[in-house]
Parts: sequence; C-alpha cells; structure tokens
Amino acid sequence: MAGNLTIDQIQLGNNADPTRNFVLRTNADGTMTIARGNVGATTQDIMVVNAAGVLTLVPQSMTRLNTANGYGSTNTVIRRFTNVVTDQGTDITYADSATLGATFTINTNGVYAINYNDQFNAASDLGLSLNSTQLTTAITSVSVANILASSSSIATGRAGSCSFVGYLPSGSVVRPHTSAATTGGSPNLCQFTITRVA
Amino acid sequence: MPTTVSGTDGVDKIKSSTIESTDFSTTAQLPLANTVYSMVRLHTGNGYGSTNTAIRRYTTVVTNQGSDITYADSATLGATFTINTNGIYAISCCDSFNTSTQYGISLNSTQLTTGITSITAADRLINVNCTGESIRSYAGWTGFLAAGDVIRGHGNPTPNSANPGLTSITITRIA
Repeated sequence: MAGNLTIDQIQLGNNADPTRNFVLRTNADGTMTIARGNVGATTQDIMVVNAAGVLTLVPQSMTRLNTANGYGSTNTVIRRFTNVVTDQGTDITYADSATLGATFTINTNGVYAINYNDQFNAASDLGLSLNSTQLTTAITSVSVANILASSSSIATGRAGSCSFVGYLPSGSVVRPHTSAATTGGSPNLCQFTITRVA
Repeated sequence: MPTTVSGTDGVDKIKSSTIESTDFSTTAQLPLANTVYSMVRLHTGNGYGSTNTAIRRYTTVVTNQGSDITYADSATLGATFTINTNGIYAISCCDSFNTSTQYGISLNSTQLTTGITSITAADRLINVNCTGESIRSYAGWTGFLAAGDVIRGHGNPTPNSANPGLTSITITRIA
C-alpha cells in the first residue's frame, strides 16, 4: 500500500533505560495499548482502548489491608493481614506468605505514601522497613538505613501509627515490621495502606 | 477542542479531552494546571453530631477551596467531607480529649454512633490513641478515594479536652 504504513507496534524513544521508552501497540483482541518499556518487553500498561472503544487509564495504584494475622513463620517480625480491601493498579505487588509475611514490591519508580497502624497485647513497636534482610529482628534493632518509619503502641490494645511519604525505586520491598509482639484483643484495628501518589 | 495530554515521568495522562467514552472508576483525573487545588482545613473541636454521636464537628473553617471536596457541618450529622472527583487525597487530623481514648478517620461508614474502634474494619482508614487528658495525637492517611466517598472524623466518642483548639483536620487532593 504505497504511501501507507501498517505496523503492529511502535516504540517511542530509544533510551538505554527502558523505563524512559514507550510502546504503542495493537493487540489481537482488538484493543490498543500504550505501555512503558521497549517493544516486546513493556513493563507497565499506561492506557488501553478496549474493543468497545472505551479508553481506560490504568488504575491509580493502591493496596489497602486490615486485620492482623500474626507473622510469617520464618520472617517472625513481618506482619500478615487477613483482609484485602483494595488492591488496584500495577505499580505495587502485594504478596502474603505464611512463612515470609506480607511484602509490597514496588514495580515503578515513583513517590509512595504508606500508612500503617497496629496494636498488640502489650506496649510494643511497629514500623516500615525497606529492603531489610533482618526479618527476625525487631524494628527497633534493624539497620537504620532500612527503617522508613517507626512508632510505638503504648499499651495493650492501644493503636500506634506510622507513615512515610517518599520516593521508592522499582524493586524496592516494603514490609510492615514489628517487634513480634502478640496481636492485641482487637486485631481488626490493624490497617495498612500504600498508594503511589506521583 | 484538541485532546491535551501531559503527566508524570513523561507518562501522558489526559487532562482535558473530547473523548466521550471513558472509564475512570479507579483512576485519578488530574486537575488542570490552573485549577485551584482542593483543600479543606478546619480547627477547634465542637463536640459531635447529636444524631451521629461519634462524628466530630469543628468550629472554624480556615480554608475551603476547590471543587473536589464538599465539606458540610450539621448539628445532627456532624462533619462530612464528600469526595467529588476520583484522586489521591491526604488527610491529617489532630485531636485531644478529656481522657485517654482513640479516634480516627472513617470512610463511608454507616455506624455513626459507634466508636471508631468498633466499626467495620473496611470502613476504618486509620485509628490512633490519645494517651490522656489533653494529650494530642495525630492521625494521617493518604490514598485513592473515589467520587462519592464520604470521609468523617470519627471518635469513640469522648468529650473535648479543656483546649478544643488543639483539634484540627485537613483534607487535600494531591493528585
């Protein structure tokens, strides 16, 4: 077809860092996607036009959980949660493991806001660790560089709260990190929210 | 009118468009560059609603700007903050009472005479502890809220401290 170009996908940008490139592609199911990355190796869908012609932006990434569920059996200071209230978007991967506890892996460079509150059967500590390898060590004794925030719950059943807002690169792993104190009498007073804000 | 796109990290997001068919149910709709950023800031505790006995009221409006948040105060219902636009919102509360207690922030709660620590967990964004009379405590939460969501300052409820001016709440759309 002289004068016409037919192509399945096209890459915008040729930066050595694939996160700075974008791909516009058609899909076999009749949809069209703009994604971050290189042709054949995109890492983040940004927007999709579906088969019905509806434009959908990828959901704003947020994971919100509640209700304490003890700790990982191996990672004995890493909290687990019972309920997922919200888990949307592609920038954060939440995983729950009976052995490893809860992990929040960052998939996209960005600014993230995190809120965590918890309560125990006695006064104790809670916090947010980043890329920690000290997963059986109380938050108060973890390497300082691996602590994003920490706080205290002053008495049995009394909620302590901590928060962090800052830049996290792709690959970062955030964990709700305590001193392994036993959950208090109201485990549903434990809440965790992580949101990509920019 | 042309579609205008811009965004974070070079990622395009729609600001103003003529696209008629969209699904924004879980996405933020970014404000135009010249939009007044929405923020409501209040201070001074004014007890609770007479019907919604666990819902905080406030005396003084410091700032109430933008169109993304509708603040309403009612003697019976307490204070409500209704979200008008999908987006990321930051909420900051500070409160103190006449004794040790807990308070927090609820989302779309229907348990408006029930203390924050006893409402349905999914409706509780955060709860924190005030350790004693007139001891201040801070509760903060940042996350995605959808149009139609209703935020409330939710107590246990416990009477104001002797210095109700220590009570404040700010809610701001940040993205």
